[in-house]
Amino acid sequence: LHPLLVTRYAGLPAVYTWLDRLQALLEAQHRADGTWVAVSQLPQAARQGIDAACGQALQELAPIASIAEPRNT
Amino acid sequence: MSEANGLPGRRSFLRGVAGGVAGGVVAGGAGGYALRGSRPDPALAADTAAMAGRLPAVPFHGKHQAGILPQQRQTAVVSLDATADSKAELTDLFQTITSRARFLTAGGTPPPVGIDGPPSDSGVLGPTVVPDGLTVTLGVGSSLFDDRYGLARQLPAHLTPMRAFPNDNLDPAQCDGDLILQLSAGSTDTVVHALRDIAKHTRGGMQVNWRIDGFKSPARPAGTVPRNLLGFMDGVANPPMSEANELVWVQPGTSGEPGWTAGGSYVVVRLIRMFVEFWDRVDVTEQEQMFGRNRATGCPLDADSLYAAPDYGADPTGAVIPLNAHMRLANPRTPQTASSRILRRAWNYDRGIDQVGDLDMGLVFSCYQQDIKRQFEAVQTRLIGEPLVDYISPFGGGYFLALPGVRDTADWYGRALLA
Repeated sequence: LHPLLVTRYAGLPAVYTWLDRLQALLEAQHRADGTWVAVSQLPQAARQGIDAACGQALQELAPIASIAEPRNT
Repeated sequence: MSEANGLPGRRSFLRGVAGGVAGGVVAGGAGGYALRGSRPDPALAADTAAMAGRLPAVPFHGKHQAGILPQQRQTAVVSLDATADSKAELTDLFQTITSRARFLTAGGTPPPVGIDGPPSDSGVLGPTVVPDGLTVTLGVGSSLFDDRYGLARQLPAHLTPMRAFPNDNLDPAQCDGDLILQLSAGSTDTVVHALRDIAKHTRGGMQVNWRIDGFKSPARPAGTVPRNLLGFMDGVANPPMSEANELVWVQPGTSGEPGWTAGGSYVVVRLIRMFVEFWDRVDVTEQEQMFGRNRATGCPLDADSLYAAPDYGADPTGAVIPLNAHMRLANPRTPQTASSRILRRAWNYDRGIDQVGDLDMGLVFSCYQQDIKRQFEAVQTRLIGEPLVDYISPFGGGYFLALPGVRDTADWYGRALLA
């Protein structure tokens, strides 16, 4: 979708910023042995950070559904 | 109708709010409140007419935040933690909250988005956002001044985590927070709309920590003071706004206070469960002795008018108003305790049932003051062990500093702290 969006969505850089931040926050909870820290085990600040990054990423992604809707005109 | 019973009508109520302290809200407060009775100020009066309908806009800009004086029917109190990654992002967060609050409190038509995205507004209030008396009040907690944003040296002098008192049963998940956001308006849909709007615009910058919704009952009978869910009038005695500079607002040049706090006000929020099934089994005389007021009329037990000051000097042994009655301990009306008075702002809450099927209802108590230790904590210390503690249980809340007001269109929340 990137080639389609780059000329159509001014907010695209923010999408990557927040997806990158979300990925880094998630990786921080990925243990060396390959297992993940359970959501219930996350310290509050870590959970809030992930919730915030996920929420903002979804907010930035939302217009793409409308922009990418096929149109005949 | 409200004019007839001596209370201000809707228009004068709002003029009072708009005028603020400097504009001369004072009407009934003849001073010496601690020792004598007085009718409440128009801006503080529980005006059923003003609370019943859709209200005009409350001006957002001013020296102090506009949501501190009026009490609208519906409110949401939301504790949030900042998730901003840097001081620059925190600044952006405060500016975003400011611009949303400025729009929501004034009302208007949200900008169209067309086909390029979801609508800019939830539509909960219809195509045009009505102000409905919405106020947005923002405060900061002591945890915001840790090492994340380099604000440690700006910590307000009296800001700490909330202290636990002996009769408290605090749940850490419902205590404290980096920020406190209170949204109040005439109707619930207006409050919910504002909360969704602000949350949508600030997802990356802050996350909800805990939340409680409250409502202010109409004054029953009309012309009196709204009741709490124990059936008693709540907040009959509040200091007149002529004393706000001595009791409510942080003054410029206060020793030990960082300069940015001037014009703000410390706010204490206490979430207080009421054991209403238990309370409803207590006879009315015992209930009245616990509060010190007549339940039906709200009058002090030694007087026959609602706003009369109780004469404790004439009742030194507590024969009429017991020495441990709530109102007598909270405000003994002596020269020595006059500086501990608070501006009381309480809402009722009702959130269904608890785990054993009892009704989960109570009070969202909040109060504004200049110095939490000198005021709220002094009052609460006097109340330790009062008879009422068997029927109530404080379980959450926090200490915050309500920020100074946003002065004009160029100003923003926390500018003096962050700029």
